[in-house]
Formats: sequence, structure tokens, C-alpha cells
Amino acid sequence: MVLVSSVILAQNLPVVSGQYQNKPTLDVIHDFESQTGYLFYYQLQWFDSLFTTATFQNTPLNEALDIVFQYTPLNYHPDKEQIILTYNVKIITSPEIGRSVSKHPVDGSVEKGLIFEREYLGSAGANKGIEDQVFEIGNRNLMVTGERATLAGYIREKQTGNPIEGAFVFAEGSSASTISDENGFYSLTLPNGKEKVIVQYVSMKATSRRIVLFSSGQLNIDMEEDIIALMEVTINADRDQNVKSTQMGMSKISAKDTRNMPVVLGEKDIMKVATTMPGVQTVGEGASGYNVRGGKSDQNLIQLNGANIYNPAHFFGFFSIFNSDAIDNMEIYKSSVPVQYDSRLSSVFDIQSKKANTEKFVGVGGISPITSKLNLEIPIIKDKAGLMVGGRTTYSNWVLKKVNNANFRENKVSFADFNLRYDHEFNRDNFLTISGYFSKDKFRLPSDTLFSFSEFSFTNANGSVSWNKRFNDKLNGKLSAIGSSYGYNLLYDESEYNAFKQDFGLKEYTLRSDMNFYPSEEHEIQFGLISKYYHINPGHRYPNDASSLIIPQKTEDDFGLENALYISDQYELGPNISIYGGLRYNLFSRIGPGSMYGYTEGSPRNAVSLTDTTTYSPGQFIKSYHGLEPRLSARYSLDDQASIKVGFSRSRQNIHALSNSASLSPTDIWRLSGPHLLPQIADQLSAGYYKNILSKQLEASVEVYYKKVKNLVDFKTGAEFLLNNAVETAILQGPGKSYGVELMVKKSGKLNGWLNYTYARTFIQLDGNYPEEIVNNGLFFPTNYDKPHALNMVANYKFTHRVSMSTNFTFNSGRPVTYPVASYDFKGIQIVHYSDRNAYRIPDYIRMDIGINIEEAHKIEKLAHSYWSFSIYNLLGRQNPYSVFFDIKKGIVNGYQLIIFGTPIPTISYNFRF
Amino acid sequence: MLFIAPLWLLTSCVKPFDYESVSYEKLIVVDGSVTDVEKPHRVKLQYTYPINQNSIMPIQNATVWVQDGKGNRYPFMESEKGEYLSAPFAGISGESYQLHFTTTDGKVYESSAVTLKKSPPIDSIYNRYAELPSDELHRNEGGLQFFIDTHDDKGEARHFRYEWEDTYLIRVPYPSNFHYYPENNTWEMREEQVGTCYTSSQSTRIILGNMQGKSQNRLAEVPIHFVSQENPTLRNRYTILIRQYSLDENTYNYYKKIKESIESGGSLFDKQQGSIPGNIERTDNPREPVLGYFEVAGITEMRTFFDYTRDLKDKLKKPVFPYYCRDQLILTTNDSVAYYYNQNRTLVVVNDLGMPFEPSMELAPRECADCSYYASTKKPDFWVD
Repeated sequence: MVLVSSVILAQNLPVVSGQYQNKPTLDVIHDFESQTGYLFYYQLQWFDSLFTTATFQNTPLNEALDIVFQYTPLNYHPDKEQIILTYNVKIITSPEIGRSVSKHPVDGSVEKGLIFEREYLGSAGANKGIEDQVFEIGNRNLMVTGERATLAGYIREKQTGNPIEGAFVFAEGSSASTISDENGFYSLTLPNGKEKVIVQYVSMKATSRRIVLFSSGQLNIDMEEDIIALMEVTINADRDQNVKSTQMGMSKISAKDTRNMPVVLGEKDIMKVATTMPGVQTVGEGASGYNVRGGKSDQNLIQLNGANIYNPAHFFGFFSIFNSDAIDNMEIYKSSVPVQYDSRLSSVFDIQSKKANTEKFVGVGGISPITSKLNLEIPIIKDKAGLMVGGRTTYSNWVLKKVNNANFRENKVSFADFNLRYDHEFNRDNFLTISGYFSKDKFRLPSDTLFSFSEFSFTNANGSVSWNKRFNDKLNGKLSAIGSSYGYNLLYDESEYNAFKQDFGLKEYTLRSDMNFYPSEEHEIQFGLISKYYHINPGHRYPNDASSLIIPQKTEDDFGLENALYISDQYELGPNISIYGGLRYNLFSRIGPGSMYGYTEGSPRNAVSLTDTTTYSPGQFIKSYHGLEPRLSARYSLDDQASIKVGFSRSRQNIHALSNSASLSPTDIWRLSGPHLLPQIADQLSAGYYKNILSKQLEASVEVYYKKVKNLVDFKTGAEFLLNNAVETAILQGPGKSYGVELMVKKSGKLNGWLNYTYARTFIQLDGNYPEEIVNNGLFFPTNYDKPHALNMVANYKFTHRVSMSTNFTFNSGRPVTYPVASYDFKGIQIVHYSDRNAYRIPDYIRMDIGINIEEAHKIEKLAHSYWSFSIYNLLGRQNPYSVFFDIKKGIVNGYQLIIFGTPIPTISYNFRF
Repeated sequence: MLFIAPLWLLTSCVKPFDYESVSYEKLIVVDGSVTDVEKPHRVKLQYTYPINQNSIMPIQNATVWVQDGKGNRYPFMESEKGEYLSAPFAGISGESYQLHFTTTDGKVYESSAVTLKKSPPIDSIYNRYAELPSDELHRNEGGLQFFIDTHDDKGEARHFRYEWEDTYLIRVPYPSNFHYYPENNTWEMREEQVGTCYTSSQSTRIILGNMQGKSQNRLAEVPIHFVSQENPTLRNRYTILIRQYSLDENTYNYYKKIKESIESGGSLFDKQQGSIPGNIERTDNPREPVLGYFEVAGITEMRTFFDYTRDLKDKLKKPVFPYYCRDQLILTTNDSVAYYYNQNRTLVVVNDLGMPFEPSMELAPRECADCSYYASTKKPDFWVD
């Protein structure tokens, strides 16, 4: 430690001021130069990986430099209006300083190192990587051999400088280890001398540093994204990763990124950020469900800590059910989905909740016009175990009552969600994670529902327990037990004779074991076994009043068993080629109890052609489907800054959402594959070109894909799925195809963000032998969510440490709509005849939002940090139609458009952290 | 409009949308029925017409007949363009009927065979005060909801369609007793009263009820018709006739699809629109879509009267007379009638009180004195005072 400088200074030095947050130390020095007029003398390379975080307010320069150079090998010596910096050498002007020189003889090997500095410093020429360099830590003069010193610093993402929380830092061959905190800070006490420090973090490439530890000092370590963890394009993306991983069609979004985007109604929403990524779309604002690369909304696997979420929407779709304060990050895979995920045709949204801080208590909360929320991180055992709990609830009922309108006053709308995660580290090799999630939505609507139901609620609940074990450096594994459930209830009580309740429920239980094996530097092998049990109650209606005439009515439950085995290898063939090969074998069985109907061969499935019923006993296999799902992708590096990638993947899906509306609707039901409902199978071929330009400031990519789907699920016009025991009579299945090209440019720096353009098409074909089975003459036609052109821009600019501004711009082609092509009279009523499904389009969607975040001044003593968010959604006030519909009034067919947010919506929200 | 998020309502709106549908699909539409009521039954054959060109395009000179399950043939003759009528007969419950027709270009069409199901009597028609959201007023409006109950002990009839016809009495505040001739400024006593009139309307929506999933073979509280208190309909005496059609399940499902197609628009979860085929098929080309339906139904009907004064409900506001008439009665002298008339040509003479030297002429705006120009003065046959 350099603790003596101030003592030696007789002269009066000028004062400096400034606030520095992880600022390169060199910049701080430059700043001091300009403030004081003093000249500093130094060598540039001394400042490699030195950063300063400090606040000065008229601090004398010597005191400021003491702080800046604390824990560094740098010393300074003022000489008139000059400051001479030295590296590991003190210029001693006062004899009493001599006592800091080592009292003990230096250990031989280290001393040797000290003497023959070249032996550990860059002996192999200039081109050696950072892992081969040797870093001197601390002050050579302070070295006490045989003693220990503390190594501390920050673990950060290389490109973004974002801190990495939870990185595992240890010294090779030593039992000392630690985990970085939320600021990326770590500290490790090690014996003085040569050490190799290794840092590991999930989804990051493990890295190491050779050090010689003289005395306590600082070492910041930057980590790169891991190719094996497959491509994480963070908002401030890791640019090397884009070029170097074999994974294509993948995006990673961290919860922090939600702050950098304007929000609607004050709710930060990670899923909204997702929809600004190329290829991820929704049918319209307020629509639940996502369409990824031309896929249906049930073809996405949405997971929270490994548990499946079946309805990711609150308030129909205005908000996602993920409370961004409780979320750490999300990865989206659009193609070449790694084999360990459950098979869905389009995509995987893998969401991880926040891991609690095990050192100190952290609370985060927020207040917006719609919700209030609170998230707590509670250390249970210091450095070992922590609990994260979070909750969010609406007070919209209260807001609604304030609205002086009869229509609203009778309404009730509310939602709430809860997150929980407990992490326990037993030792270096054993971790336990328990997580739980619960969400509930409830609404009561005005009584125009005299003909239908009046109260509706739905619930997502899931939990998982997983145990991570490291067997040795080459093998680690995870054992997990997961349960997910989703269900809804509807209630009708407007008429006592017709009062009923109706419910739907889906339960899913999974046991899985996942192993990672690293036989050598070139291979990473993953393999595992997954076993899943499904139980679906497709609908049960029962009376809700003693005088109700409703007879209990039950659709038979679906039971299914799905087992899968997978293995994959990420293989570095050479410096330029990397290959990912994966194979998944999927065996799905629909099991009893259940009854299956038979239909006359060659006629449409309906009540008339129904011939017989086969009844199966519990556990009896009704129908099994099995198949291999190969995944292959490869990367070839053209040079350091550019690469091309190709990939092929096949996936099979055995659980299907049945919906007869354009977007996912709350009363959709999920059903399992069976004798009449065939598994959906998709093959996707994709290729991409990736390039970093302007010294990695810009990251650009082009991806193309072609997807072919078998047995895409659609339905006959007017189909009814609820309480339909023979649901196959309402279903149509046909081939589909999608293709597209996605262009993406990302920028990092003070002005950061991304711009992407997508051209994509998606079609389906429904052809049969009878009019009810034929749509659009049996030819391919665009699906409801076919939006050929999409442009997204998200930009964020940081004015100061406290003020940042963000904007986002979205353009989409209007989605297809079916226009009337004729009208006719029937029973005295004029009826519109629709044909050519999806032949027309609603007008294009254009929206721009802006947002400003203002943080209150940082003060150490202050109890809580806080920030205000102001945003204006739909700044242009454009009336984007959500849907178009037709109505006949006085013999005229009128067209109408439904506009959800047709005016600019300003919002203010307050968030705090303590 | 099943799911209306209030939040969404705060900001969302429905606006007219200009569209241009360039394509036109010309298809055959069948609107035919056979019922158990003794009368000539009707089959209407026409083509769909282009949007907003409400030109009826009849299919003329077709050969049309209905055949029952025993092989009896009932020919239908063209009475008006595209309208074919049978000789009077009553369909028999339990019997099946099938429509056949051949167009002049030799295309052969037939419906599925539909069995006639006898309709059980309507047990009762009753009403209850209700508040429903109004599209036009953007708030809830109060009114009377009329319901029916029915049951079928045999459990044969389970699916129903309803139609209603209602009629209400209009009483103007100042019934005009005189007819005014402006040409020569004279007036004379009217031969027919014009102060009390009757206006009728009928259902324009598809109303359905079914006993599927209901116990006791009973239907209760089937909502048939909502009459808003914002309209003058319930001001005086009102009557509603409800006709119950007993359908088979397929026919019912067809109507249900049509109903959803008409009514689902404008929510966040619009149903996918598309062609809705009925039960008619071209025998030599089943892929040709044919619209409409050949309906076979048993019919029962019931009528009820409602008086505002007699059946006064606590909540129901007395509907106001639709025209502003308060203080609109003008009392003047004989020789000023022409003057007032020239000021306002909608005035009519209400009364001549017959006092020559005092103001004895009562004049009032036509809508307050003579309902014959917006309603019928003829008392319908079914009307019971």
C-alpha cells in the first residue's frame, strides 16, 4: 500500500474536483492535468486495466492521488508543477520510509522472478494473449514473502464494461475462492508470489490471469461471452461473440436493458424489449403471444428458471407477467435451438430470475400509474445463501372507480404476481436453487356478457428445485424437478337458472438431469434425460347456483408422457471452424384414461361421420409419436472480424394451443397430440454473415432462414373448442412455410442501441375434400401474423451519469385481414360473406416512443437510490389499428378499425433501491 | 365484445375504416324453409351481390322441389323473381325433408335431409329491468329485457332459434281532429283519428337457445329482446310476439356460426372470418361453396302485452315522447291560422273550439299532433287494448 505519500509532501498542492464512476484512470489523470495545470509523467502501458471510482470535492491533489493509486503499483512524486509517476518504484525523499522495505528474505523463486523480470513478463513476444501475460499486483516494495495479500477488483464484461455478478473466482491449486457481487467486485486473499487466478461464469468464457502478487492490489478481469453458451447478444453486445459463436438467431436481454427503453404505462417489460428484436413480433399492441420467425404463438417455449409458462400475459397482453425487478436476463433462441430445451417449433424464451445478494440486503421498488412493486434480496447465510422475493400488484380497481363512467365502474380488473428464488451454496461444488412463481389475473366485465360469462381469472404457478454439482473440472451436472401449471376459471352469474362455472387446467411435471462434460479444450459435450408428465383438463362446466339448470359437463382429460434424450457437442475444429451438433430423441405418448372417436374414412370429421368410440384404461398407451430432432450449426471465421454460419434444426411439438381468434385469447385451450391431432414438425435452415466494423463499435449481421412446417394447427371457420369432446372435428392441420431475411446493426458506446430490418413471410395451406376443410381454394395463404416488413430502432443516449434518454421507433406492415367479398340476405338479415382469408392488410403500424430516466444524485449516506422515469408512448399519436371489422348498418357494409393506443400516452414512474 | 379491458377502453376507440374490397365472389345463396305450419312454404334462390350494391340477383327459372323421407315430392313454383312457393302444406314432425333444385344451366344442388322437430310451447314471456352498454351512448342504458322459458318433457327438441315482432302504441300530446287545406285556408273535421298509432319492428339479429348441457329439458331466462328506455317504445302499451323455431343440431350450429361472424367484431379477440357453408351441396362438385340453409323447423309462438303504467317498475324511467312538444300548442284566432302556417308549414290544426270572436284555434307541430306520417293509424288485428 502506498500510504506514505502525503507525509513526504511539504509543498502545498492545488485542489481537484470530480466524480468518477469506473473511469479509466488515465482519463482521471488527464482531468487532473487540466484542472491543476500540473504535468504528469508516466508510461502509457501502466494504465492498462486501471479504473477509478471516486468523488472529489476540492480535494488536495495529493489526497486525490492517494485514492486513485490505492491498490495499484503506481507511486507518484510531486516536483514543482510536475508529477512524476513511477511503476513499483518509490522515490524516497525521506529516510523513515525505508521501513516499508521487506524485512524478510524473499522466497527464492519469487525473488528470481523479481530479478529476472523478463522471465515472467512477455518473454514470448508481443502477440501473446492477455491470459499469457503476467500482471504485477501491488507494490514490489511491500512484498512480504510467505504472507498473504488481498487481490481485489472487478469482473466485467469485456465489451460493455458491465459488471458480472456471481462470477466464480479462484486461484489454481488453492482452496481460496469467491463470487463476485452485483458490482462485479471480488476479493481473494492469496499467498504472495506467482498465482494463476481463474474466473468462471455461466454463459461466459472462463478466463485466467497469471499474476505475481507482491502486496494487496487491484486486478480487474474482463470476461468474454462463451461460444458454448451460444451467442448472447446483449444490448451492448459482445461483439466478438456475434462473429465467433456458432449459434445463430439468438438474442440476450438483461433486465437492466428494460430501463433503456420507453415504456407504456410505466411498466418496464423485458418482453417488450424482445419484440424490438428482428423476427419477434406480436399481432398488435395488447395482444398476448409472440410470433417468432413466422411461427404461431403456441410454438414458443417460455421458461422461467426452467419452468414452462403457458400464459405470459397480464391484462390480456398489455404487460408481460415478468416483473422486471425480479428478472436477471432472458435469452431468445430463434433458430438452432440447443437440444436441452423442450421442443417447440419457433423459439425459446429462457428467463432467469434474479439471484439474491448473499452479502447485503437489497430492496428495489417502484410505483407507476398501474402497479406498485417491491423486490427484496435477503442474505440468509453470508456468502452462502440468499433469498429473493418479489411482488407486484395493481391498483387498477381503484383507478377504475375514479373514472366517472358507468361502464367502468362495474368493471374489476386486477393482477398480481410473486417471484421467489432461494440459492444455497453448500460448497464450491454443490449449489441448490429453489424457485417459485405465481401470477393471477382477475376481471369482471360489464353485463353485455348476458349471453356469455361475466368473471374471468387465470393463474400461472410453477416451481423448480435444481441441484448443481461439479464432479471435477471436466464434468458437472444438474438435477432438476420442475412443476408448472396454468389454468383459468370463468363464471357466469347474471341469470340464476343459467349460472355456471367453467375451468381449464394444465399441469406439467418434469424430472431432468443435464450434464456438461469438457473432455478437452476443443469439446464441450452436453447430454441429458428429460421426463415429463402432462395432465390437461380441457374444460369442465358446472352449475353455480342451486336453481341453475346447467348440467355438469366435462371434456375428458388429456394425459401424456414425454421422454427425451439429448446429446450435443460443441467442437472447435480449428482456429476458424467451430461446429455444434446436437441430437434429441423425443418419445411422446398419449395415455389413458380416455376415449377416442373413429370417423368414416374419406369423409370430413364431424358428428355425421363419427363411427365408434374406443375407451382406454388409465395408463394405457393410446398413441405414441417419436422421432429424432437433429440440430447442426457451424461457423467459419473469414477473419478476426467476420464470419459466416449455417444451421439446420428440426423440432417436434406435441402440445398445441387451440384458438379461433387472431391472437392468443384467454379462453384458448391447450391439448396434447393424439390419434387425430398430429405432432407439429418444423425444419429450419438458416445462414448468416456477421461482421464487426469500426473497431467493433458496430456489429452487423445478416441472417436468412427458411422454415417448413408439417401439421400446422388451424381450424374450421366458426370452430368451437371449448367443451368440445370431439375437438378434432373443429381442427384442420396443414403444411406451412416461412422464410425471411433479418438485418441487424448494433452500436455500443455513449450512444447505443440497435437498428434492424426484417423481411419475412409466412404461409399456411388448408386443403381438403369438402368446403368446410378448404380455405382459399386449398392454396397457400398468408397467416394472421404475416407482416412482411418490420423495422425497429432503439437508441439510448447517456447525457450524464444521471440523465439518459431513450427512444424507439417501430414500423410493421399491417397484418392480414379478411375482407368481405359479397353480401346476401338470409332470414331477413343481411349477412356479409367473407372469403379469401387474409387477402388484405390493415394499415401499417408506426409508433415512436421516448423516455427519460433521471437518477437522483448519488450520495453515500443516502438511504435509498432512486430514479424517475418519464415516458411518452406513441409520441406521434398515430392511430394504429389493432384490427378491422365489418358491420352492416342500414344495408351498408361499414368498415371499422379498433385502435388501442391512438393518442400519446405520457407516464411517470418512480423507482427506488435501498 | 367479450373482453373489454377497462384500461384499454380508456384509450382505445373504434373508428370508421375506409376499405376497398375489389373482389367479388358470386355464389348461390339458398334461403328456404319447411315448417309445421299449414301454408305455402318458400325457397328463395339468389346470388350474392357485391358489397354495398344491394341489387338482388335472383336465380330464376330453376326447378325446385322438396322431397320427404317417404318419397313425396312437393314442387315449388316461382312466384316472384327467385322466390319459389309450394302449395300449402304442413310439415310433419319426425319426417325428414330434403331440398332439390336444378338451375337453368343444368347444375344440380341438394340439401342434406333435415328432420322436422316439433317445437314445445313457450311457457312464458317475462321481463326484467336491465342495464346494458350502448354502443351509441358510450354508457349503460336501462331498459326491459324480455326473456322466455320453455321446456320439452320428451326432450326431443333441444335447439331453438327465436324471432320476435313487436308493436307499440304512440299517443301524440295534441291529437289533431281537423285537416287543414292551406290552398284555401280552410279546415274540416278528420274522418279518421291521427292521434293514436302503432309501430312495428322485428328481430334483425340471430337469437338462439339450446338445452344442451341443461337439466330438466328446460330453458329458462333466454334473453330475446332488450328494449331501451331511451326509446319511446315502452311509453305506452307494448306487445311482443316471440316465435320459437325448433331446429336440429346441425341447423343450430350453422346459425351459431353466422351469429358469431356477425357479432364478434371489435374485440381484442376477433374470431377469424371466413366462408360459412350451409347444408346445400352441388352434387357433381362438392367443392363449390353454397351459402344459406334449408331449414326445417317446428314453430310455436306466444304474444304478451306490457303497459308502462300498469307494469311500472321501480327502476324503469318512463320513456319520453321522442319529439319536443311541451308548450308547442298555439292558441290563436281563426284569421291568424294562415299566418302561423306560413311561418311554419309543419303546423297542423288540432282543434277548432268554435268561438268566433276569441282565440279558438289550436295549432301544433305535426309530430306532436299527427302520428300518421311516421306510424300506422290502423290498429293491428292482434292488438288488445
